[in-house]
Amino acid sequence: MADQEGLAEQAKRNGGESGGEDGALRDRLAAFDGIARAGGSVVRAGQSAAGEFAGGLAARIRRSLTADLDDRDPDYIRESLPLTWLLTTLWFRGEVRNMGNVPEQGPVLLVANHSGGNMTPDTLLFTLAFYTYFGVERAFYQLAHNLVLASPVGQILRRYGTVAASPEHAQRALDAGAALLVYPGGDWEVHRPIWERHKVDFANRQGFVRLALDAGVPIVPVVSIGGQETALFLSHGGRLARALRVDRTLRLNVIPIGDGK
Amino acid sequence: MRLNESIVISAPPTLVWDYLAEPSNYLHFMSGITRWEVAGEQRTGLGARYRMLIRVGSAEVGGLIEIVEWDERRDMAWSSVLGVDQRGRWRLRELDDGRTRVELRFAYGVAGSGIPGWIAELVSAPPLGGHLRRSLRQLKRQVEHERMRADAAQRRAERNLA
Repeated sequence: MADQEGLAEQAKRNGGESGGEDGALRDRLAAFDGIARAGGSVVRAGQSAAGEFAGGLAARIRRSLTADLDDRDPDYIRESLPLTWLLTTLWFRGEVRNMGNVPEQGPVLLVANHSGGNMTPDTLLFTLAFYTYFGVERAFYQLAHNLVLASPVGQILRRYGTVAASPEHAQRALDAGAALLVYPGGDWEVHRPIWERHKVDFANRQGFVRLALDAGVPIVPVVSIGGQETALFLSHGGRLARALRVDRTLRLNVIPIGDGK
Repeated sequence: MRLNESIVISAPPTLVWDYLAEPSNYLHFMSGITRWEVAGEQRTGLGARYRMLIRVGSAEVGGLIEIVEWDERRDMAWSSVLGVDQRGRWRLRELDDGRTRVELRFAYGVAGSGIPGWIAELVSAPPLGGHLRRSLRQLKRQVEHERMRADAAQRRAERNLA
């Protein structure tokens, strides 16, 4: 009895109720329950944080792959043109000629070869040339690989008018009356071996022809020379990409062997 | 960034002004200019607009400009409407000996571009200054050549009359 009374008092001190042996047991378990609840809250909080992170990441990737043409920000482009000009003039020392061959207005499909590995000077240079020649007011979009847009620079590129490469996004841009720059060779061409640096290699991709025919827009070829000399690749690594199945999971047809930053 | 270059031309201000007022001449004497087109109905005078581009470094830079000041035979100023921010001025002053001092002022930049913009202005100043100097030299050559032709034509006319 004395033990029971002691337990009851202890239970009361703990804020519980005394109900004989059952009550004492309940009171004892209550402490564990509190700990368990607290632990559960921590776990739930952890799960929640992890969930939020994963959800945020997924949303970010999803968003980066969505072609919202309104992400293009003419004011941002205009204000960052001097930095782009510095990079292309002092570092890459590039030059774009015959911009007058691009129609003055209306939708147009600019089909270009791609060079230079992950840091492609041709895109930077041509984008600068287009915006300084026609003005930032003219709508201009560029198709890029999913991984480029999901990378940390993706946010900047979206403001420059870069959207994830897909026929739907391309069609939407042309329907909006914009100029659209595509690189049919894409990741395959940009990572070509150094001895193929003077070769245009679209990897037999011809979807741009269908796109232009469907949209009824002119194609203007854009050729860049010298970009591949900023990188040194020895192999596309196409077999390795297929073996690791990144061609299916990440739409990445290459795992280049070499140095291309 | 503001650039300023000047030259003395052996011709009266009227002749220099007539040459500068004609938009089709700019492609002939302005160094680095890749485009100078009339935009709109008005060809010359206050309010006339031109689409101009000048090669600086890796890009052709410019935009749409409008004549905002038109004081005949003395001052012609323009300002940008689209493109890179710019203001320019032709300033003609007659010297005592009948020659003309021509001054070309050019200010440019990109508002809101921050430190990279400031560096870009500094880096682009020498090549742009070179373009302005060459433009003035070519203007002098063209106008003085025009004057010689005009004088020769007048002499011929006087001979024929005599």
